[in-house]
Amino acid sequence: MPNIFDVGSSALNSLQRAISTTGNNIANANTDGYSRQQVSFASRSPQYLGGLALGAGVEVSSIHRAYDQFLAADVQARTSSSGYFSFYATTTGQIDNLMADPATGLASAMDGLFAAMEAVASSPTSQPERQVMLAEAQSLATRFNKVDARLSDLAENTNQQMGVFVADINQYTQGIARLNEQIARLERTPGGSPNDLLDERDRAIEALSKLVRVETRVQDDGSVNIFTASGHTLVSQFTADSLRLEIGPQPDGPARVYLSGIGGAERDLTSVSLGGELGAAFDVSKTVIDQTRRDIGLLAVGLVETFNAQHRAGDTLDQVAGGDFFSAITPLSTASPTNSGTATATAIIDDATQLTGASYQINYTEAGVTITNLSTNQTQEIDGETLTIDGLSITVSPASDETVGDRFLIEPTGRAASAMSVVITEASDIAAASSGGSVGDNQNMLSLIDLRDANSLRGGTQSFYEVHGSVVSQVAIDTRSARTNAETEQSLLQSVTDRRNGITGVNLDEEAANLVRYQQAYQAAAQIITTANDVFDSLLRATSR
Amino acid sequence: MIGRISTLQFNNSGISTILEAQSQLARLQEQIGTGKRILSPADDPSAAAKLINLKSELSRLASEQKNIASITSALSFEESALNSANDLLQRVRELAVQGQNGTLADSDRNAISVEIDELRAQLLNLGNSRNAAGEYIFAGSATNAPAYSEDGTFQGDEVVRQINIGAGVRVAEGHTGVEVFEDPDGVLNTFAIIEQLSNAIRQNEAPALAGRFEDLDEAIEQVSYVRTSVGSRMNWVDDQAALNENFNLGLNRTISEIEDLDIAEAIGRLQLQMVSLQAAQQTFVKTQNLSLFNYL
Repeated sequence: MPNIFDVGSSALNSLQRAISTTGNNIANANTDGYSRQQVSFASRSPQYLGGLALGAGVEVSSIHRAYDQFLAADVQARTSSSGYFSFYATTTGQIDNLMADPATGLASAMDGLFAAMEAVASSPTSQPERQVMLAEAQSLATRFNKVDARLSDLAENTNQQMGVFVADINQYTQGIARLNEQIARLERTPGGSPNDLLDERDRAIEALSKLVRVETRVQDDGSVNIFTASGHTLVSQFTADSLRLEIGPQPDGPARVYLSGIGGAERDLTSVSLGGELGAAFDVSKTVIDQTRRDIGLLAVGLVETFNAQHRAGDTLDQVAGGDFFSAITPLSTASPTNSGTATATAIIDDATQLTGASYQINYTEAGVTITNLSTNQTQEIDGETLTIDGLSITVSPASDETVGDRFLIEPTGRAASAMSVVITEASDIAAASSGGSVGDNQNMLSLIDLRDANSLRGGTQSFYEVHGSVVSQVAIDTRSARTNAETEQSLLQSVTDRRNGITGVNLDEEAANLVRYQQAYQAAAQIITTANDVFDSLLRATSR
Repeated sequence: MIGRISTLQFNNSGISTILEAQSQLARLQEQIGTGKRILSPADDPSAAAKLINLKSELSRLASEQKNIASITSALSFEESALNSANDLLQRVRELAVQGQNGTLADSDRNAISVEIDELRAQLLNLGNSRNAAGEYIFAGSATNAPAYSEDGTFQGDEVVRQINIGAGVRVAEGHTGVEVFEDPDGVLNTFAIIEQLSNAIRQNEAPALAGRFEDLDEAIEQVSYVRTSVGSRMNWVDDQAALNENFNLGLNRTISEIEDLDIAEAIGRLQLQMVSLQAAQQTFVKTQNLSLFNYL
């Protein structure tokens, strides 16, 4: 007989839990990353009375979260690639806009200079026309400076963003390691899985995936190990390895990223394809920002060298030989901060036509001195003290025991556009006449104008305009394909997220229906108690007489 | 097909439909506002590269048209100088014919000589003509000094300025004094001929005078030859100007085809886009009220 109360109260207890779980689901209907929780009921083990198995009521066997690990992994992967392409597209888009901006357009500035030169050719003795030409040349130089400054800002901003990404990644991996510890502890105690912590960890992994592409592996104790796509460990059970970013020497200089293991040596992950926003920042920095800067620099150096050479061949209005028109741009040589200090490496431009736009690294080894083209990754020995390569003449000091490990970065065009300036200040110093020509002679100016269509660059295959056009279209193509990829990845992410949310998300109508169902069941269970009470009362009344 | 959908997702997808429609609307607005189909090179990379070349070509054409204007004015200036030179030489010839008359008194001959000397001085002035920029137009490229000295000696050089007037087309801006006032063999000089004529008349040397007539006719011929050359050069320059103008029109048409927006079509799309945004907004508002809780 007392069994009736038991059965009734077991139902009341279980249904209360079900109603409170439903309430929790409703409360979290708008919580990002919340997985709806479901109550599983099970009948309690029966009591055996007089050879009969009597039902003993109901119990909540588990409260579990709706979850699909394959969809979760899909969402993580798509979050990474979507983050990668979105960041890539946003950054290349900035360069694309820079190229489209009339205030920084190089083609229109070159047009302006050549138009002014035509006017000088048409009246070589006219001071005003010469003044206009000087002004146009200055404005062209200023545009080159501006474009380089904007690209430098972009490189610096990207570096700063990398810093933020790395800090966030470290925070997430440490958070995940802590959550691993808590989850493992709770998994050991009976009473079911720590659903809310699992959700929190999933949210952290998803946020981490946006920054860097990761792979996850669930361990027996419930913790999750996290690796980069290249297989380097970020989280191992309860410990996280942190990333470290190194920028420099200049704030817009190349960035390097290292993974530090506890007690172990650092590993250089710079050339590893990391994926996610951090990977995109590295890739876009190297393949778009840096490349564009070097190509614009190639145009600046090529223009300056070619123009100067032709200008020197003519005579000024004062009938003396012309000098440099633009100030000459010398290749930058940056010593590594760790250098011994005794080695030197310098470069000069022999032939601007042969420049490729590549940067070079010079390494002092025990065997001697080597030079690596950073665009093609080709390395060769420098035999003796001078090497002629790609239109450059590179001079290095001899290697010694002391200089082993010394490095230099040679940038013939890298920051060249920032150094462009007009050296002539007097309009009469413009050499419009041919050598020995009279004041009204314009032959040298005609030769300068001919440079417009001459294939003076990239081994004599491209004109100034063609180099510029190839830069603009390369950036445009990069931007367009990154944009298309970003859109595709975004919609793939959306669809896989929808599928996951279809399983894990809270539907209020469903919860309302559950609420009604549990409420009715609760009322029915309460009725059991009332009935049992009536039965008991009847019995008492019968026996008290 | 998704069987089950979460309430959050239901909300979000309604909102993202609205956001998507809004961003497309904003882009259309920008396109219509600027009248341009291509807002940045990435919108159409190959067209963008082409546009840069076409616009640069336009700028070059503008320079060439300016050059044509300046060369046309230089040629007409030269032409008027040559016309005057021709008039002067014809007058010299008339006077020389008068001077041939053996019955003339010394004083008459002297008067004729004086007038011829005067005409020679005028012709020398023409030879030393200066353009608006102050350049001596017949001095070759030595434009800062007179082409001829007082005694009629050429002091310039024989370099004539070449000017770009079309793609790969260069034209000489004028002629040197040598071309106008001296014979191709470099033996005869118009100023010397006139001086000799004048002297022969003054001193009544009939044979010397007769010998100079042929030379004078050659000098007149020379000037009219250069005049013809100026005329044909002007025609050439005019033709090139017309050619450039056509090219200019063609370039502008191509640029417009590439970068300009089809406004009528864009407005049509704008209206369609507005309708779909409205629909998305209305749908969102209506569906937001649907909840089972309303009936509990």
